[in-house]
Amino acid sequence: MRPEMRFRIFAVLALALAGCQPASKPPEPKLPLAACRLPGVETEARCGSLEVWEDRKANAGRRIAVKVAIVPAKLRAKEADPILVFAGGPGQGAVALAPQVMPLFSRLNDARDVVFIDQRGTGGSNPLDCNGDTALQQMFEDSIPARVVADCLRTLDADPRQYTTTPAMADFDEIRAALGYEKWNLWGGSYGTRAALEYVRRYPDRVRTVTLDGMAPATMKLPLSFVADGDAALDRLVAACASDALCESSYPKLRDTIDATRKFLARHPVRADILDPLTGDPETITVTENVFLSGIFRPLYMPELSSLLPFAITAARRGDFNPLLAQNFEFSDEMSENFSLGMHLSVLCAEDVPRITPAELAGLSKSFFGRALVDDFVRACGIWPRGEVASDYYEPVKSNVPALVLSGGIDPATPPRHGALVASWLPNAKHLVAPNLAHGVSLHGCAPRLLERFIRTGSTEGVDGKCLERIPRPLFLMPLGVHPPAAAAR
Amino acid sequence: MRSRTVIVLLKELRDALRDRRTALMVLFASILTGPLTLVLMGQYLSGLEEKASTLKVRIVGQEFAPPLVNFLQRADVDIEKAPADYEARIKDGTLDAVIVVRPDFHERFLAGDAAAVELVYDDSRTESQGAIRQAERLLRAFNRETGTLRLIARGVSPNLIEAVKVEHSNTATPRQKGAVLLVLIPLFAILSPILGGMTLAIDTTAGERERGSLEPLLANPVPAREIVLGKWLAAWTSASLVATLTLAGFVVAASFFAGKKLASLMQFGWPEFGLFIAFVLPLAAATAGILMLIATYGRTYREAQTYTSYFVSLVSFVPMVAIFTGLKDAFWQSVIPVLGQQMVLTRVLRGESITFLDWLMPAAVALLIAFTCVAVVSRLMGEERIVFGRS
Repeated sequence: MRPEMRFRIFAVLALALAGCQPASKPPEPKLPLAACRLPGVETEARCGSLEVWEDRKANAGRRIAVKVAIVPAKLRAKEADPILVFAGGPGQGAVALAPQVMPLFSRLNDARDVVFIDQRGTGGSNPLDCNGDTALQQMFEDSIPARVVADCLRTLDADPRQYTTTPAMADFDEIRAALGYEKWNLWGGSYGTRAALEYVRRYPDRVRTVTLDGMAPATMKLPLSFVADGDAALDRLVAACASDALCESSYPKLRDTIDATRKFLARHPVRADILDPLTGDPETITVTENVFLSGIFRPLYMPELSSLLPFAITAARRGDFNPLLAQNFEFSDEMSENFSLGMHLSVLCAEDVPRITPAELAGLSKSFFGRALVDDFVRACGIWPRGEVASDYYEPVKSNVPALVLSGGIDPATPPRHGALVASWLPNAKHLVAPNLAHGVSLHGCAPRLLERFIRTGSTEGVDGKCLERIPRPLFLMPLGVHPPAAAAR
Repeated sequence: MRSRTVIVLLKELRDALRDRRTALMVLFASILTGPLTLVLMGQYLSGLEEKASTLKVRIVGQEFAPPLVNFLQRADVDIEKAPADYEARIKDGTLDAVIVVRPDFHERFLAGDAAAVELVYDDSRTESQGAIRQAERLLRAFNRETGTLRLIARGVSPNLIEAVKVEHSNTATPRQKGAVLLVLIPLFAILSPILGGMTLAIDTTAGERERGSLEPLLANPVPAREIVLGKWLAAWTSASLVATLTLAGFVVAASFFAGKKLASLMQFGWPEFGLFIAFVLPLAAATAGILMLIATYGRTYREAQTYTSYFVSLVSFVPMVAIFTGLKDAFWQSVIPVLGQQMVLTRVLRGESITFLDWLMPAAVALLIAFTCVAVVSRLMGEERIVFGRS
């Protein structure tokens, strides 16, 4: 073969090889991202942060960095609209929720990025953390000691009034633009539903779908609504126990036991000897009526945990508060690691607590949980600076965006009535109720499949919630040694 | 000189195309290879996924275990009542795994004694493994939930029984995971040019010799190497064409999976195609040359076919060795034909960046082999025993 021919073949091959290199790199996004690892997430993520004005109206003063993490889609040919996760609380950081939330999106993540933004004041975005002491007493009580709040205010490098929902949503949209997304799919849980809905109100054209799990609308007046909703959840628990032969025979007249314990503690707070659930060290705590009430309230968030309540309440009636404590210990443990109390107060003290009327407070005495869940907040908000709220903030959000609203029937915080209200505002919303689930539906039973279908098709059509109705309530925990009812032992 | 080589090249190609049926068969076979392979593989994978995503257990005696049934219902598990002859069904393979609950389950469960359930299966069947593992996982999860709640009821933190919390960090990208499944594509990339060049390589050497037309051809006042060069070019062209069609078939087939659940694993697009071609064309030059060299020793078409089939076996053996011994990339591999291509093509599938040097070494070796073969065949064509030898 002649040299020139050899060369020509060579050149053709070299060209073929060169032709495979990407011709031009995609434009550099305005928000530089670097490879990072999110603990508990199997695949590599991309992280970055965007600097924004803390005071978005003044556009001056303090700059804060808002943290973003993206779990990239697995496909090269990915969909243009990612999924954006709104965390709850308020006060939870979204990025740290990734390991819990990613399993929900494992399929959708094939073709869609999943984006986590730590809302201002949480996680890695200038978190308004208040590191009070976490003595057992605190873990047991849902209390916000005035001292902790005051200390917190002194140490924070932030203007707490700027950490309400609406400015945070402006951060989110700035991040969307910087990342180069046209639209995204919103998924919010608990308070995250309020934030997501506010985003829909302000930036309706930027939303492809919205999923609201455990709806907490701006109009609900936290923590006042906890009282009525908590009462209802407890009533359902008592009724569920009464209709279960084993529970009824092991914990007869549960309602009476609860009422009697409460009345007793109202008159005589108990100095109870308990063992620390983790270390086993003996300790003494003071159990007041409020401690007892909030100790019952919190396990109601999780049906698995609340299946222990009849047992724990019966033990408490005998003066043994260990089971109730351990239940709340479990709950606090999960909550406290990723929770910024200051941001929680910034939202509630601006958006909810000021709207509670004296008449409403007075009316609480008629309800079971009463002021136990409210007084702490009213006191804390007396100290915490109150942010401004937009004048239309409490107006219904009207939008044609496809929306999937999920509610748990025994949720003590965001039961179906709130979901139903918001669904009535949104003509393209479908409201699905899982009667035996509590706070958070998305991760249970068939819900991930429904969600996948909804987000993939962008429509609630064919999303059938019947399978959610088949999820039963967990069976109540029995004292060891009871005998099964004759029917089951047949 | 070139024009004479080109004349031979065109003549051989024309001859090959004259046998329409063979040509069409080769064409169809190479186009269909990719789609068939990927569709079968896709079916297999989605079958696995289907089994993994729909949780289903078969239970005997579920009425004895309300707590277990309650747990499974909450976990979105499809509970099916197992037939009475479950053991025979498992033996003959129509059932995968069955959980057998004993009548005293509830009593023992409520007493806090370990309540035994029996998991019946036949683990010699690979297709049962998924169901067995699933049943085990669900029973473990039930254990865990029950144990956790019982500890809390005693006032003990369940953290105490979870000393280690495993957080997975997988460094494999989805493309790398997919590369494991697409391992067949490099194999086809390497074998298809051999199969595509074989007919022409044999027909133009041993075939001509058998038909007795080689002698008059070489009697022409044309140097043997020009004729051989033309014949080799024809074989290379045919080999390249078949390889290109085969690989293009894979790209088209992979695009069927776009938007499907397996799409993240089936990432074989035109960029990969281009890189594959860049590596396969030089290799095709080498294999066409080797095939010609081998076939030259065949006295008849059939004899040559036998010899070349050994070569095909040998070549297909190399990627197998690479796959099953788990060879790590090393420079020495790039100088070994076939192995070098196998290794680098796997890297292409994994989405790793390929440099010009990665290409240069295997290509240079392949072209060197091709030229050597052409030179040797030219010399052989000048030998009497080859041209005339009939016995």
